[in-house]
Amino acid sequence: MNERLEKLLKFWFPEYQIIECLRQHGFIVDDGKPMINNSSVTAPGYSNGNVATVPTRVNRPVQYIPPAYSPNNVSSAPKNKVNTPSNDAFVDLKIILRTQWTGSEKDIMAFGKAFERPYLRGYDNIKPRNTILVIGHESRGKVYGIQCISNILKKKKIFKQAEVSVLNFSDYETDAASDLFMSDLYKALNSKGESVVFENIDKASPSHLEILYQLMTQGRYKLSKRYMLLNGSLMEATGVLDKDIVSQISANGKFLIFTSTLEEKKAISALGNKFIEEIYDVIVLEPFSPIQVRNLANNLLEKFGTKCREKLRFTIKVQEPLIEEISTHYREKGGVKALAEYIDEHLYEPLTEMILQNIFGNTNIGEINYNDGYVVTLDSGASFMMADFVKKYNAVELEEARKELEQVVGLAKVKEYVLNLENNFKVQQMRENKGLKKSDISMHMIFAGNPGTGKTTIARIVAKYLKAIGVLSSGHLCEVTRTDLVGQYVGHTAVKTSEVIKSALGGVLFIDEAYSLCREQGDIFGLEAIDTLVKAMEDNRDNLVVILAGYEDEMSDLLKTNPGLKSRFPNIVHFDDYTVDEMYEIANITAKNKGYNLSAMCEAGLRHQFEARQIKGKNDGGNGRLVRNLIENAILNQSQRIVKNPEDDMELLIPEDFGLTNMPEFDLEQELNKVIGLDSVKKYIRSLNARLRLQGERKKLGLKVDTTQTMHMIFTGNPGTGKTMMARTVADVLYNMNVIKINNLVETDRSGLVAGYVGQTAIKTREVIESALGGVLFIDEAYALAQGGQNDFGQEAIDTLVKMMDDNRDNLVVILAGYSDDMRHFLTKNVGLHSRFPNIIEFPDYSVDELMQIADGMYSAQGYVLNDEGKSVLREHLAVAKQDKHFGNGRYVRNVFERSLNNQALRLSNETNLSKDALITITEEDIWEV
Amino acid sequence: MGKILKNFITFSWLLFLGLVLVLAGFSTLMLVFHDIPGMIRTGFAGTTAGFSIFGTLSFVVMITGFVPLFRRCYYIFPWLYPFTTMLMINLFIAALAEFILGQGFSVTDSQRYEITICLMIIMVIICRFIMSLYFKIRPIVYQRDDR
Repeated sequence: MNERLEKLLKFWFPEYQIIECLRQHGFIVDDGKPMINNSSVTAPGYSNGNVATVPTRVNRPVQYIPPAYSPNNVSSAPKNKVNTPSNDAFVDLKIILRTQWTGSEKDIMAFGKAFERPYLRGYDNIKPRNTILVIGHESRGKVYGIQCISNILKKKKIFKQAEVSVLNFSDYETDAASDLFMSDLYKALNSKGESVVFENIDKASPSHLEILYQLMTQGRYKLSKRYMLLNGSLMEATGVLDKDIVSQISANGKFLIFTSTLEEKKAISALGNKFIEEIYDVIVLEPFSPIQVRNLANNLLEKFGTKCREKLRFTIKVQEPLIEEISTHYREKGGVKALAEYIDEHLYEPLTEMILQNIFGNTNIGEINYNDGYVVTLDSGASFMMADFVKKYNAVELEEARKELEQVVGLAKVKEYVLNLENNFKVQQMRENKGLKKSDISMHMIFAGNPGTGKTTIARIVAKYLKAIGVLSSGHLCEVTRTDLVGQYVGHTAVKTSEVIKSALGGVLFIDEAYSLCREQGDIFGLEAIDTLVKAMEDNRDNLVVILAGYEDEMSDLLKTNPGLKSRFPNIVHFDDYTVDEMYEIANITAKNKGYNLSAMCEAGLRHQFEARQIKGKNDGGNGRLVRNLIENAILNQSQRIVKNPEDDMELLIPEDFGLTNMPEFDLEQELNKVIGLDSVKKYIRSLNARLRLQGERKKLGLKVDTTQTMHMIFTGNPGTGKTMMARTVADVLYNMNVIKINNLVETDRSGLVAGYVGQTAIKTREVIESALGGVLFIDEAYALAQGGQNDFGQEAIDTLVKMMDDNRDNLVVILAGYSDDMRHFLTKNVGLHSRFPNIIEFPDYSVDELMQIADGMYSAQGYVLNDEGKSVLREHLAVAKQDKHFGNGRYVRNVFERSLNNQALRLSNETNLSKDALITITEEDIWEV
Repeated sequence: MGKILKNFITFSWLLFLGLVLVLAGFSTLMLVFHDIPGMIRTGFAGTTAGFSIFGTLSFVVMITGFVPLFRRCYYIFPWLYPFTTMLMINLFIAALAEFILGQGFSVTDSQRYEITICLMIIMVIICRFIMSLYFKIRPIVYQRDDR
């Protein structure tokens, strides 16, 4: 009764608040300076006659400033602690929080305690009111819970404002973000709200933790630089005359709440003992129990219902099986947010789609249930499956990726590998649904193959595939080479590589020509890039796939540079060179994609070109890229043709566009007739030509053909007997008979094969031979390779030559040339040489008549005429010179020819008014002087 | 030196404010216990100066709240702000009551007098109720925001 009267009086006479104020603060107060009180603290609201003390921490001076007016503080001295208004407020807090936030009783009690603590023990406006650590899995509702508490406390007039500032340490992971963190921290601590939440505190750097530690212990952090406030952000103050400079950040008596998704022990060890000691409340949120999950699903569905009512103007009734089904989709990893997104994706979006398509007509009430799928049932009894209206962009993506893969020509094994990825992932999903452990296999790959074999194309498709099946979040392809990863100076490489990796997260990082990262032993930048890459692959196992691409051998060398590399790239995919058929198919597809058609007449010529380029052992065949370049060139040529002849078909590419009609026919007789003498050699070449032609005819008719015939030859004979010239003719014959792919003759001798240092000869020899692959290698004075002593490297060259001849049987013809006796001696140097060169062709010395014919040919070719006397002098001269053991044959004749021209010039130099005859005639005098 | 000047200004204003408050308080008391009973007793309307005094007090309180140096008075005497607020509202109610009476008693008519008095009482009760309700919901909170 008395209480009621008191309440009534207090209501009608609010002037009592003046008396309360006097009682609380006294008549006059100090001008705002805090009173230092080293004794134990009395809580506000308790009168002096009834002290209930809360012991403080040892040796901590407590600062006490009169707290805010509140109705809780206005009552007279309570006799019973339970009945204090402040306790009532926090009891109410727990009760209300239970209705708004899902959590166990223990969690709610812990939150209540944490927020009540400062009001019990006292606080000031300098140090944080309380420091709380909340540990719970992702999207557990940590920040949401704190927001709910702030709202409740605002309604209870304990908090002025309900705003909660949130800082996430994931945003400040790099050093460059340090200034941003200071600015955001300043804003948060000076905002109107009473609480500041620091998410992912375990990701804070040591410097950030130090700042927070100082805020917790001293209430302020002195800034090392001077800042000023500009548009709400802290900017470094450069001018000394600026006023309003900010030199420190203060906690301003706010609640500092830290959250982490790690386990308790890990979180505590990440923060360190020093930091943990300053935290008063550590709240470890329990995972949701099944009942809580169900309640959560129910709450989310209620919110979903409200959203449907407000936005879609459609009232839904939720049935029990639906709640059960939604509950089963809760995953601790994704938390509440993932479940809400699931509801959005599978219920709200399809419902929106159904309303947009006017499926329900005028009805705006329906029931959603789960019966082997989500079903909407209207009052009229009509039912609609929501799955039919779920956007199937993922499925479309998968189908698209599959289609794209099928369109790629060849690469059957590669396609099989990519399809297997999908199967494995599906099985892992099935395992997860059954409750079995999901095993993540490493998806990192190495693509080994020559350029143009489709590595980048497949990498793009793999990225799309992995996104479509759900392994990667973004599915983009980040294509880089060495230049994008390696920096200019020490330390730059790691930064550059990290940036590239960050941009590739969620997708595929494709490093082309990856072997270039470790070309040399001392390539520290390349090694730095590799080390950074290896670390990133570990840190981002779930969200990054790395594909290295390059030549086969070079990639094996790369894997050896870092011990961890080989085990991290368990999947090596080999990209074989395209066959001629596949290249032709690619040509057709490429032309079609560009809107052109290939004429049937182009086929033979194109196939021939492809065959000529696809030389085994050579890495620069071009493959797909060659085809694309050919087509593009043909298109350019076709454009020129169409301009001249506009009536031609604009979509057709004809052989003329590819340059296939310009190939002249090869006439062996014409070529051989150019050569003087050497009848036995010509006979051999004619027989070779005839044999190859016959083989071609047999092949056409499908008869058995002996392809084991060895084409390697030895040309023996004195110098100047036409060996090199004949080698060129032999190369032409072999090319036209399709024995060799390119009409290429590489001429070399000992100096081109042998190097000066140990181990270098094999490399040099190998390089020369590789340059001749697909054509003919002509080694002049080959016997010189065997003439050195024990320490000579010629033997190394011979051994390398023999090995490469075996490795490239179908791809190389070798012609050795030299003096007869020396060559015979040379063949004994390596046991295998004799059998590898079955064709030994002797080049006899030219007769005098033949030499004269050669001379005649030389003079007429240059527009000179040898007079009769000159001829007879020359004949005599040649007959005498032929006796010499070291007679140069054709070369000697050339020398004579050159000198005779010089003599003629000398003879005519003093004369003037020279006639044409005089200029073109070579006389006997010119020959005498030779 | 600056601090001394600030204190001087604050205390000077405090004195002035005190004077105004005393005047207002006295006026309120006079209105409630002298003017209004006087009008009821005599049946004649007197000069209605209540609103003028209310206006003056409002102006002074407004200046006090507006100027930080003057506002310090409230920090030094925490009870001053609730006192001032309550006084202003009570003065307003009294001035309004006086005004209603003045209007009603301007015409000599006993019936009119009765209606006027009833109106006045009802107005006072309603205003008091509103005031009480307001302070119940939003009690005067002493917050030092600008500190």
